[in-house]
Amino acid sequence: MSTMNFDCVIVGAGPAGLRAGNILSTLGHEVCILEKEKIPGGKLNIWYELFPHNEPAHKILIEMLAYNRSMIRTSVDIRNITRINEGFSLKDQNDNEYRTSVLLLATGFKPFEAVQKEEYGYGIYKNVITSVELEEMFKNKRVVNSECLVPERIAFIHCVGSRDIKVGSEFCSANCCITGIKQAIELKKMIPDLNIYCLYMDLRLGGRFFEDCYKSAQVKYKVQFIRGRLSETNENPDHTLVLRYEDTLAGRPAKITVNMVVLLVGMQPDHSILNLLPEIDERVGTDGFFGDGRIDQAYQNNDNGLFFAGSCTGPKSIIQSTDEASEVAFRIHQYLEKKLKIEKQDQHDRIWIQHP
Amino acid sequence: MTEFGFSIHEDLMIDHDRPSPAYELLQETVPSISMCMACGSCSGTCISSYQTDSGFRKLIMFLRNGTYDQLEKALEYCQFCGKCSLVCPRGINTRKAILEMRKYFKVKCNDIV
Repeated sequence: MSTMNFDCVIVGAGPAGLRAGNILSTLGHEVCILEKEKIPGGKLNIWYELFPHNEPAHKILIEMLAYNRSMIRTSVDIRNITRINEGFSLKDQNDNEYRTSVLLLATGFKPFEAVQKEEYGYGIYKNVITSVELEEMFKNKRVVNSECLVPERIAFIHCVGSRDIKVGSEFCSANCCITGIKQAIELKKMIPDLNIYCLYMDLRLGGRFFEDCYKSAQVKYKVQFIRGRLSETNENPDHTLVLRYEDTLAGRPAKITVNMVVLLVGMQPDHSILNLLPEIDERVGTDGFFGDGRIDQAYQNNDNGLFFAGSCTGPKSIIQSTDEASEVAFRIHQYLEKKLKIEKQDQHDRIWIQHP
Repeated sequence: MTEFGFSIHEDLMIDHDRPSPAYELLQETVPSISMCMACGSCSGTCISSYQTDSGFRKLIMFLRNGTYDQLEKALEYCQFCGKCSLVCPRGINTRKAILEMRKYFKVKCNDIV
């Protein structure tokens, strides 16, 4: 049990938290990054390679940590957050207290829980996996189905838990399309004889070089793109899966048999911190993500010391997260400078009053 | 003879398990056809689409789905005006693709001997 004082406490040591911590400590502020997992890196730890250039995720993380100068505390489970005289006090499971004037939440997202889409068969059929589990297989360099056989045909299902009112997420997660294409390319590189089918509604490839990935998946890696949202999954006695959907380009019902189905799960807002600081509630958007997503600076320059960065403010890629974190770090710097100035002014005023 | 009962319909289900050897072959001869993203600008501009409900997008679709009966029929409609290749945002060599398809399916038309 101890009490520590900081200028800024960042919750979450993912790409956004690390970048903001790096910038703020370079600018001379005392920064502490709190991470609930055993190792820093956040979602970088669950990816094998990153789109669009297939850079290894661990390499990016090592680089991020190498530049880091701020204090990182892992396995910290924050139990309590309170406001104390123009700042925050955070308490963890060991009763350590972190006092800070600025609190930056970079808590990130959580992958969509695919069991909610019962008709897709996740959690029912063993050969239906999520994109997160596929990344785990990539990390182990071994992609096999439930019978430990190398699959011959794999289907990727786009938009699982995105744009779906039934599961309460009407937004587009923006990154699953490119994740699917990236994973299809990785799979094809690993298993050249594999047949890959992508069942999509529309491909939203808004980022730089994403379209290039799409083209090379089409031409070089011969990934088949089928337009149609999956309706139902059924299992054959030999554990292969039959997918039923409409080929909406042909306007006819269609089916396909595959060895494995990969669900490209969307990004969901992570609300675990909401109970600790109820005032965030006021700044949660209709989609469940923090912040208001406005361009207007007047809305962003909040004077209550609470900031958000990264994918807790909406679905973002790593580049977008770190970009936002840099911008927020600069706003935090301004906020702290302003506060320091006011404090100095106050001191000065007091002295002036004492010695007329 | 009394007519009664049900007539047997052709199964409309597209079976994506059925391989499409023609598509695989054409991907080798005209690699750009893989780039089709089904935008439909080719069908929109096609001079025979008004009468025939055809178009290059549909040719690719029939080819991918392996519905060769429809494809062979649709192939006859092309007049090689080249407007589809003009509008294609992905630069697909539609002319070559159609010629190769006609060659593969031995579609006889007035301009090909």
